[in-house]
Amino acid sequence: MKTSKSIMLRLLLVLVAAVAFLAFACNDDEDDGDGGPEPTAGDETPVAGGDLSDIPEDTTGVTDTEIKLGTHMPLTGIAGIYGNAIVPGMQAYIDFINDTEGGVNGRKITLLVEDDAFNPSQTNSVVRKLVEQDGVFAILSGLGTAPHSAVFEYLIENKIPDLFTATGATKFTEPVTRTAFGYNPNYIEEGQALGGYIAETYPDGKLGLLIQNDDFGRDGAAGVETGLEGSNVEIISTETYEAEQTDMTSQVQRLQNAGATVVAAYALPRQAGSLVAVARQQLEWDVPIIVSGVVADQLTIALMNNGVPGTSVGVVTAAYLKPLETLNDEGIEKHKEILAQYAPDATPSNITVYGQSVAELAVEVLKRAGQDLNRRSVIEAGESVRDFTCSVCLGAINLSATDHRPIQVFQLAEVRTVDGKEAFVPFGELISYESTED
Amino acid sequence: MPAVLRTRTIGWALLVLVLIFFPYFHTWWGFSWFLQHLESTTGINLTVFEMTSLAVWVVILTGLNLLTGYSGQISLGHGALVAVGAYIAAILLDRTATPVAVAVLAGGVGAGAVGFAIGFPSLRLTGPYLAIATLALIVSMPQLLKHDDLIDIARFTGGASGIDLPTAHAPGSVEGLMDDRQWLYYSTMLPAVIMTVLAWNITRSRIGRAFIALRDSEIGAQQMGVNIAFYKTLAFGLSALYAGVGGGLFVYTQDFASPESFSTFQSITFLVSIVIGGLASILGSVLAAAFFTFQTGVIAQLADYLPAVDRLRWAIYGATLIVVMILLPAGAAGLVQRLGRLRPSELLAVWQAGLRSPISALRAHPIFERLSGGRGDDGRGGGTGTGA
Repeated sequence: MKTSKSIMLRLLLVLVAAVAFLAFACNDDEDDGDGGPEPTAGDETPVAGGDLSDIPEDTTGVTDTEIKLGTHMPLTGIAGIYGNAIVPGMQAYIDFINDTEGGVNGRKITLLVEDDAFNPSQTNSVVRKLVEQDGVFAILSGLGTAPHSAVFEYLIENKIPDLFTATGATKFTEPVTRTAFGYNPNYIEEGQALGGYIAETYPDGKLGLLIQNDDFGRDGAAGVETGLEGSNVEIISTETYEAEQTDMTSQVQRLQNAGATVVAAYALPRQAGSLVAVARQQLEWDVPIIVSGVVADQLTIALMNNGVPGTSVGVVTAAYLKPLETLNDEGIEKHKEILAQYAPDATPSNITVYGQSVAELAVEVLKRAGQDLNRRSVIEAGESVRDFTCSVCLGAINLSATDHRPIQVFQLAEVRTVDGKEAFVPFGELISYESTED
Repeated sequence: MPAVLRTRTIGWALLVLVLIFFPYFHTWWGFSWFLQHLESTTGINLTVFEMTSLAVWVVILTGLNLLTGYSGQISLGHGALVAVGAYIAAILLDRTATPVAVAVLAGGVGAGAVGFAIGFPSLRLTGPYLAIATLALIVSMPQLLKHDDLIDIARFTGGASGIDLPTAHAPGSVEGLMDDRQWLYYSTMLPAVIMTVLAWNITRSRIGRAFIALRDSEIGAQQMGVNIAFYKTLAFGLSALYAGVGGGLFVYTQDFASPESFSTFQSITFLVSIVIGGLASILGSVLAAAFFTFQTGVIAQLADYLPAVDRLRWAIYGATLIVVMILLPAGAAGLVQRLGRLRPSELLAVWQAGLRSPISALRAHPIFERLSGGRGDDGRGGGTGTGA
């Protein structure tokens, strides 16, 4: 025991010495460092509505013939399905513009795609590579709340335009940072609209919620709750799951036992699929099911059907882009054409539609910035977008110095059988996010 | 042959010089050409930021190697201890005016305490059982970090959105000497070097010998008077201290921490890395960190030659692991050490033989047997110099 004690003592000494050394070594610098970062974060975020003079007229990544854009996307790993569909969607549209219009104002657009596998520390590496080595002009559609959080401050500090982030998180757009634009509607607003729909359609319903145990699920549930306010609908039970868990049997069973008469889910494709398949096939429970727009795609329909066609019919969601199955729609037909020509390996889906919608908005902004393209003029151009409806959008996009969220309207959609195949079909009026708030 | 001319000495001197001057001369003409060439052919992207990340992983993997390589206790959930350190540092930096160095050390001490506490139940668990228990740690970590019902942990950890920190800036006193990136490099590399040297000393002290004795035979160690319980928990505590300091440096360099930053797969990759780098070796930990930092780039680059290979990342890890276990039981560090013992002329001979007809020449070469740890290498060791 004596030996252990003396070793402990020595270790302690070493530790104390190390602490003292490091504290000493870093103290004087950290004093400045501490004063530095915090106030600058506030200073550098220009007050909304103010001028853009502190964003330099930097033309990094722009030449007379080229505009270099970069993005970070998960191409491998669990979230890979998103990146592998959004990238072809964006890339195909960009190639299409480069081919048919010679790019924007005579400059062809190059999109550099880096895989971050949805891992924030990898995002940090690849975005620094894009900015510091590849010298991109702007970041377009960086995907994921956690991955993008890792580089958000970095992009702000270096005043790199951070365009149309592929996440619904409010923290990127509230308060408004002049260099950063969001894209997806946030889950609270979407939840409110879905809650409003439930209150209207099932006035005396007993609502069971199935939510993912994170901000996505919680924001959605909070939104639904707000949407239900003033109605007789009662939230009878809330079941949660962890992202790695894909079998929802026990959760669905508990919802049924609790006596739910309508179910709403803030779940990802696999879990939403399991919810519908278990309820309809295993429990033969014909409860109305409402899901988040995040899963409004063919993949989820296939998972819901679980091999039995027709299972998913009647599931309701909220869409803010035209679903791929919209019949006789010019925009959708054109999207399929562009994809077939420029990304023949990619299967058209609602996610490729999403990719194209982002690319269309980016092209619109670059056009508005005009011949004199730089990091300040692109922000100015972004904030000047009014009533722009992309070919696959349901409603118009409006941006301003105080509003950096492009998507403002959506429509309810329901799974119906179209041409012998299930698909989300929009129905009812366009609903504006702003109007649902009051 | 004077000692100065030994490959090993030259290697060390080069390494020290590179580490000290890297942030400056990576932009020099010849060197930057080399780095660009390296990136375009192998996918190894040697930037100041990547080297800073490397320093962070060196600290973390050295800690894991103390635990797994030296004391023989397998931890599949080391990321959880990294997360503890990272979150302690992040919360201190985010909410108080704590200097970075203090926050990082607080992270280390906090994680060390947690590790020490985990060390006690680990006394009753060995081998696969301990591995499973530590796996439980990392699997439950995201849920704990997001928890807001019984105890409102999420209020401190920021829940799923994590904690955003402002990016690190070079202090005013070094203005003109280095930019933010270079500052970040030095302020991360210095503690990493200190921690590595410390670990090197620990493994050569009574503690290190006790760890090894413990790993090789618990009963034997006990017979020799090693206090099993004490050293087992000490190994956990020390290793967690390293994980915590590494975690603190991680948030300092990444200026962000979220539950997604510490995935189960990452923890498993830690273990894979140290086996490939070399167990029970400080050099092995450094090589493991290099593997950990650069493998994504290398595998992505491989995809240019072999389609879709980047979707087989885990299969590649597995295959590499098996190949390393068979050919290089002491990991990459074993290979480097063997090469380091050769004189530069011998090294050249190996290199030339390899160039002439890569595989057959190497195969025929007695050094290959020595490198692959084949039988009877001890007896022939002396004569290899003339073998080429």
